[in-house]
Amino acid sequence: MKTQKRTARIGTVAAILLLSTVFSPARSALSAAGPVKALIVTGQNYHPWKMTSEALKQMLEDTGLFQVDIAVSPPAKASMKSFNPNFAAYRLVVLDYSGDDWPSATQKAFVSYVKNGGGVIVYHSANNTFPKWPEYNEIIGLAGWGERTDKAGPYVYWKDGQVVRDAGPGVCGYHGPEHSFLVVNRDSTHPITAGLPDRWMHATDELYGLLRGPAKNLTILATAYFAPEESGTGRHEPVLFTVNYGAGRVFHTVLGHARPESPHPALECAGFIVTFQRGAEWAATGKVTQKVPADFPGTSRDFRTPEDVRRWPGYRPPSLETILHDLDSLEYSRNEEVIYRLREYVLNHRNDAAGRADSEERLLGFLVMSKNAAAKLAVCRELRLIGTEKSVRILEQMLLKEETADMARYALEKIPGAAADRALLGALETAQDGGKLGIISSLGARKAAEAVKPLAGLLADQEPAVASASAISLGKIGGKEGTAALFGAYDKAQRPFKADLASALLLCAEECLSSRDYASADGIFGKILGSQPPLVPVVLRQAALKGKIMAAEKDTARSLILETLTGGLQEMHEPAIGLVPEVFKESEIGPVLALLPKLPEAGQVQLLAVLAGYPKDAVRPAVLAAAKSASPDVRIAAVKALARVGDPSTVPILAERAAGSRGSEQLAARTSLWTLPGKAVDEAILFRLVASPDDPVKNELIQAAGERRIVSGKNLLMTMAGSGPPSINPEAAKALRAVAAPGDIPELLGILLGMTEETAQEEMENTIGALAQKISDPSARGDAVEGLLAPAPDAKALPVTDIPKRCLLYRTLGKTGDDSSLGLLRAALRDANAAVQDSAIRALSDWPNPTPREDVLKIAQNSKDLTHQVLALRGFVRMISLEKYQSPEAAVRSLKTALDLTTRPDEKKLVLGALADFACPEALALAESLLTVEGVREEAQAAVAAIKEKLEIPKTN
Amino acid sequence: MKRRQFLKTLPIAAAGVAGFPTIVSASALGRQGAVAPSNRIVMAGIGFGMMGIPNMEVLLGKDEVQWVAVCDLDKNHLAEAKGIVDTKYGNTDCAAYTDFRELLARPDIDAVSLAVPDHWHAFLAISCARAGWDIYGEKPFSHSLREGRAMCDAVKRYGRIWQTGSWQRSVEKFRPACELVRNGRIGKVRQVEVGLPEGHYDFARTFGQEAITPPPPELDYDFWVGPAPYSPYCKARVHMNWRWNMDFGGGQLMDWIGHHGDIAHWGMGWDTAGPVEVEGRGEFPTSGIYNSALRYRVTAKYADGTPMVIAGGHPDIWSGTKWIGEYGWVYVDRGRFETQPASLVNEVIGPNEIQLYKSTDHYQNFLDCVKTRTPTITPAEVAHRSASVGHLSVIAIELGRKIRWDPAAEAIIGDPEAERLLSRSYRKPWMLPQ
Repeated sequence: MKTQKRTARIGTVAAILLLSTVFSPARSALSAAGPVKALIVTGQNYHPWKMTSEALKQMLEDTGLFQVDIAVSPPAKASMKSFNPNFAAYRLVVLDYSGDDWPSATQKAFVSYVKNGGGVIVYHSANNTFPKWPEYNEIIGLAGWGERTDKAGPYVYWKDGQVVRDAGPGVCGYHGPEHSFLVVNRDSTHPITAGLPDRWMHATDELYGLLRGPAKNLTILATAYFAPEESGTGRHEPVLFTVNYGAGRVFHTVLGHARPESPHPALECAGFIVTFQRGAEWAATGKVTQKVPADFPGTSRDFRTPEDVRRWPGYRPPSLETILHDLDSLEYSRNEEVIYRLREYVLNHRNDAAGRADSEERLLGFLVMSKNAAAKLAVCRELRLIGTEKSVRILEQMLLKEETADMARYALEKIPGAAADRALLGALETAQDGGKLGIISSLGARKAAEAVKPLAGLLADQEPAVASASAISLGKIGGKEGTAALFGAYDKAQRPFKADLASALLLCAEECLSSRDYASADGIFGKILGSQPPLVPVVLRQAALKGKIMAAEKDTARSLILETLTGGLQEMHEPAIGLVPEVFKESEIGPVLALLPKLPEAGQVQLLAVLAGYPKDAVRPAVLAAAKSASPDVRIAAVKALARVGDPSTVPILAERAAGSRGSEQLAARTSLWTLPGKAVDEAILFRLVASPDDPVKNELIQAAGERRIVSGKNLLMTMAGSGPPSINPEAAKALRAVAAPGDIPELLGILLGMTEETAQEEMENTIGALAQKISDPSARGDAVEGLLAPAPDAKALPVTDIPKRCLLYRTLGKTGDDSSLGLLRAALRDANAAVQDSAIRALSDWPNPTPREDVLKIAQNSKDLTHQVLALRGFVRMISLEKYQSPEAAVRSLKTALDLTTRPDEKKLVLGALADFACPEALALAESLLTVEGVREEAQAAVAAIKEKLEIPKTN
Repeated sequence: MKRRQFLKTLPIAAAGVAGFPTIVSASALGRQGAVAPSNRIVMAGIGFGMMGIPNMEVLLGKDEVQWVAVCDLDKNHLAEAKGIVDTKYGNTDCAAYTDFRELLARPDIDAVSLAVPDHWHAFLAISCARAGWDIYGEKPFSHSLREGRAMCDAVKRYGRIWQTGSWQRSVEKFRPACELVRNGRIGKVRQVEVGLPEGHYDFARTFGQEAITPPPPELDYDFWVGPAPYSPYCKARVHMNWRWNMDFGGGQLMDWIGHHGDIAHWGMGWDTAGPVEVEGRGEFPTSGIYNSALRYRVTAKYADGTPMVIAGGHPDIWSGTKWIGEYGWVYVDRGRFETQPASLVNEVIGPNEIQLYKSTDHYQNFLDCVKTRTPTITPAEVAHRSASVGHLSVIAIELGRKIRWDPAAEAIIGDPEAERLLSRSYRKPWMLPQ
């Protein structure tokens, strides 16, 4: 696969780029002055630079303007001393390089090249490299990654019609998953973008965001909105821009991401190629003479199908001659591409009668001429699609030959009309062994009525497989004749052939049922039902009983079921019970209910499930009786049925059963209590909650109130959380999560501060935290708690002063996760009281987002208390995984920091667990460094394996 | 072949394994004492090349199951499967068959686990149903749409219980997500998005091994090809990677439609519905023996006009299932459940609202239903509908045009060529049983 893909990749890019010559300007324009010399610098890049540099070269050459050389650096970590391209000999340098630092002489030569008027293209990841080379960063204008921080320069993006330079803090460089996006032309006066549409759709690409840099003399030409739905920044990020550096012109395109394997939609996108070609000419010469192609992608296309962007003009599909010529040398598992071209041709010519007839004729000609079995199979697959009676003659000849019989059938089976039937019937007489079976199969699949007579004859064939196959096909063909033929053989037949005939007859009878010929259906079902058990297996007789009940008048059907359940064989109970709802109305169910307790256990279980579908009042007493059965299976089935047939009066039974049983029975009772419909049931639950003297039962009812979201029970639950017996406080506090609203938070805080038991406090903290998440303004989520800890000066309230209570409030802040509360917690860290400090540390370590990442790191580094160190460290590791805008390498560096702080194997394991999410060589190295560490060897091995696995898989984003 | 170790390290399958419900033994569920032998469900398994072993291991752990036979036409797979059963019971009693026809003759089997390549699904499902066995069958449900219909009819005719390996319905947040959508929490749904994997995944580490060689002695290759058109043996064609050739499997689209597409249907209440129009495109390899789509994008429009976008390799369609409604969206995948507004995630669906089938253990649900004779959480008809939209997508991509579909009659409207693609002919001597 890998080798094929490589071929395909190069093939694809080359093919697309060849087509791109369609866009070339008149080659003569510059030829008088000779081509412009351009140099592509590459050799180190985490993208497939061998492919990209060749592709860029071809794009440049396709303009007819450039003569291109490629300078390949030594590989990563090798000595760079020898790397000193002669920049001065060129007018354009294309940077497709992201890797080790250049020697200082090379750096100097490059800077002087640009200063003196040299043209530069910064392509995609070239803006990731050389973070510590100030001139380079000025030349490229904006950059990302590579350990850059906010010191790299401001963020530059587009907002409200102008360029924003934002020097605020934050990471440098980010991309999300690849996606297709709209590029907006921001400067239609610049030579590069003049004449391009106002906006165009760009094919699937990696969009860069959060770039920062010196951004001096920078002109934005085009931006793209990095939508939050695409895990984006919500900013209009610059994607094409220019920088003037000394006398040099720099064109920077962040587009054109290349994946490790094809396809490469971004590189093949017309929008990328054309802007790259125009940018190159401008950087080298200061003007653009290339014409914008007439079909440059616009916005009129369907945004949702980015492939349209890549559909190039000038594509001429090959002729059928060419295809068939290539097809004749088809080998299995080799050049199978030709099969797609064949399919494409056939589909493209299906709509005009002449073209279609022509395709068919030439395909048939190929079948006659070719000796290649694989190719003929491919052609038969096409005839399967478009073949007509015209194909029958040649397919019929193939049907007679062992090596082509199957492929001929693939086509013939699908060709409508009597001629194909006749061809198959003709071959039936001469075909041998397996070939005969194939033809019988096709005749059945075609439901060929003419086949009934010959197939009937074959029911008596010496070869059992032929007789069986004929029975199956006769069943599929059905009809009066088919049925008669099967009947004819039925009485005399022995095992196992009789069973084949019986299943075929079942099909015939089903056909009678659906055409409402009940008498015939009843006749067939009766015949099978009356057969001797050893000759016809139970399952077929069960099917026949079902059919017989379905075919009967309702009265007869009811007696059939009742007779079966009272006197019949136990093995026939199952189909009878299954049909109860079909034939017994609510008012007629009495006799069935009476039978319920008398049935064997399995029958009771099955019947209870069936009864659950009946109107409640008709069946509830019987189900309640069964709920007291001595058999656990029957009890569980009854309790489950009560979810549908229960009513308010069933509430106490279910609650007591939930409190008094375990395992499946408890689960069934709880599920029924939680799902039994009706407002009256809600009221019954609240009433029992007050009335029941038993705490376990009360807890079941409280849980049910939460699960059922009984909002009217809110006040009652608040009372029970605050002042009820201690054994029900936690459950009540938990249930409030579902029934209370954010507006109740102040009251819940009051209850929390009155609580003494830790379990109850924890449940209440979690409830308050969950309710706070429903407040739409994230910076208001902690307001109620903050108001108690530090009331605003104009508020009349006084702060809570009692230390244990303050601790509870700090802990609750950790649950509400409001970043604007962090100031209070940071202050609490410095509190003199150890308990307050402890609560603040716990709240910060639990924080649901990564904002306080540095805070917890400091705690982990500086705390003297082992528990606090561990809590903070765990929080830190968790927050690294939560951080959205970071490269894997940056995450690994943070994890390394965490690892250096660990003292116990437990935390090392945590770091190892997180590492696997950030697969990169650094992660691998870090995981491998722990392979020899006692206590975490296994985890390190697992992490190494997981990272290797991820690094090995071709990444697509 | 070390399939189990392999599955454990595999990202996609690992996500699946990790997502499996914790296995709780029956005794922990409060069944006092062991299940009496007479009450046990006697099981056999056919196909142990990939999902057969993990499925069997879970079922083997259930007290009410007695495993008596295994069947595989690869003798190595067979020996591994028999070894697992024999180790579990501490004896050598587990019967081993290379020919399922011998297994089918056994009168003592109650239920069977089927985990064979797609091109064998219908044949074995119908044969086992006719033998009176209940079936735990892997997805995709069927290899062609018409086979799927025949399978449903057979399961119904012979009164069998069917569970599909679409286990997402039984784990994690899939049900709560669907309940939010069903109860109108995001208003009328404007678009459903189903994001599936792209490309081909080298499950067996046999990519590139396309040289035609004699099949290994342990594998009866002609039998393995069975009803599919014959192609010569090469290593890359068989175990675990057969899926990437459309003669034997259905590519990523069919492999995953029974998961995320199935969940999409559940959330929309489309368990017995189907699209009315399907249109899509795909990109295909240009060489080699694999010919299922690498990237693809399909829009299937349902009767009320709601479009379902099914895509692989299109990052704007997130992996998993997303319903976009008037007031927000609900998104669910393995290990992910997100909503807009975010607070919807914690919404409780009360008893007076639409409650969906609740199962927390896909295998236990099968065994429970075998006992109660009630439909499982993913019965045949439901699985057939989930697979149908996949089959129609494959046909629309293959023909490169919009096809129209009557979901009630299960018929293509006005396109005889598309109609021809609804079924496949069987290679001799095989024919679809009934």
